[in-house]
Amino acid sequence: MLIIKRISYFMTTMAKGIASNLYLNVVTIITIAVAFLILNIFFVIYRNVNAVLEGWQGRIKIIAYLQDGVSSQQVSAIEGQLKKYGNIKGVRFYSKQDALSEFRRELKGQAAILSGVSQNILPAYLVVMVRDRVIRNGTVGKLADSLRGIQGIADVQYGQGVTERFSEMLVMVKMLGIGIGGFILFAILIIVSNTIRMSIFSRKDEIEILKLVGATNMFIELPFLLEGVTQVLCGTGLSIALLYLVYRFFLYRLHHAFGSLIVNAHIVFLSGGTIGTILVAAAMLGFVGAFVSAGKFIRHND
Amino acid sequence: MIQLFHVYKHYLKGSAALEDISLQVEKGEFAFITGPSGAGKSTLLKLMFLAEMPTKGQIIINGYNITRLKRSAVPFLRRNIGVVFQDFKLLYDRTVFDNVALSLSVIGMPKKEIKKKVWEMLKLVGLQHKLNFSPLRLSGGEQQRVSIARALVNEPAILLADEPTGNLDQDLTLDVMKLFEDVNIKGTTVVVATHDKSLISRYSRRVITLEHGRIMEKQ
Repeated sequence: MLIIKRISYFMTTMAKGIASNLYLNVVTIITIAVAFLILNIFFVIYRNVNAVLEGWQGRIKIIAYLQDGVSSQQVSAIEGQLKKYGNIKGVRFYSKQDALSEFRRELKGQAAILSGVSQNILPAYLVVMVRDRVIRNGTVGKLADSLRGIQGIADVQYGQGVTERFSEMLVMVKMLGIGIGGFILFAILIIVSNTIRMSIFSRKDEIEILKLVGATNMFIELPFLLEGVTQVLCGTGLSIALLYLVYRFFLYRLHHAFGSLIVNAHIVFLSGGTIGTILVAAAMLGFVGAFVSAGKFIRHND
Repeated sequence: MIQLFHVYKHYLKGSAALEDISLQVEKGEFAFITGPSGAGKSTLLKLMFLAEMPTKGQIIINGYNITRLKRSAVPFLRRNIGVVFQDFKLLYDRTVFDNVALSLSVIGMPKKEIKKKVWEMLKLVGLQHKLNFSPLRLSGGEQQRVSIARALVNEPAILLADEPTGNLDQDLTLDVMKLFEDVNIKGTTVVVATHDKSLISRYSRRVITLEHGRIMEKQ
């Protein structure tokens, strides 16, 4: 309750602290903004690659071509075997006749070219519907390979290359994001901690006097903690604003190059939820960075 | 009020700042601590306002044994102890008002009340007309009076002063001592550490003499 009452004191002290080390604070905020910009670029790339994969979800299937002469009992046995796979959500059988009909349907007006073709030319096949997680973790290829080993299956086909490349890209962006992100977050923690340390040093006389007149550590530390949170929030806010400008510029250039159809529909910015999460994480980071310094240089010197 | 039982203070390098100090300062008493430089006067005061902890022995301030006090309780005990230093320890980027108000801000007093109390205290030390001045614009004596105002504004039970007149001329010294006498008359326990024997001889008060960290005599 007392803390709430004193909120204006803490905010004013925090603002004075920032103002008294303005240059240092501005440099810190810009550094944090650049660091977060890199991180946020990864978030945007991840979100867009993910969006593409999401668009494919439910549409990715594996076609398992059956050997000639496979009996209907064998087909049932294969179907039963496939349904046991945790990554397969459904199997549908297409006989040779079905295969030809499908092919005709796909050819539409040009079906006449198949007039002399016997129905035996196309093999019977199974359409294997895979679960979304297979696409996300890039294991479609592995699953397809395992199907090749099943007796009665002659060949297996799926969107070789494309799905894997996107899945790999998603994994790579994720891994890079985690690696670089971890490094960046750690660097920001060090930067904030260091800036707050300098801020504490520049006000060490005031801290000494505050302790002398009976201020609690919480009372002394709070303005520094707020300063840390403010620095990182300002830096993060700036990075998001910068990224948005870059994003708009990128869209503008693509729009001119390819037209609005491709661009607007497929390239998305960070969602509101993601921005909120980034800001909360940033605030926590600023708090931890400042808390570390305050602990070292205020509490420790009791 | 202030009780020390066989108190020792040794620093890491092994030098003994205080050796077997036992003394008692009663409530409402005015006492001088004297001795040559390095005798342990400042260390003794630092123990009394909890800036340092004794290596050995017990210290009881206002009924609290500070060697057994939780760290978190230290600020609350300090609020009952006003401290004045030779170098004033003022914030020079703040006004006279802000410096004095600091003691009240930390205890969460409402702004209106702070304003009233600070004005009254500055009036007591004769600086009410310099409320919005920076301490840099004040003389040494005035700065010391601001520091005394800060120490007394929340009406502490104890006032400790470490060489409070060390930087002041004769007239200003007497002004400051007059302030200490005034607050003492009102019931505040006052302990003044000074090496100025001529100052001590002016007042018929109890004198605790330290030498090489030991009490030599209590008068």
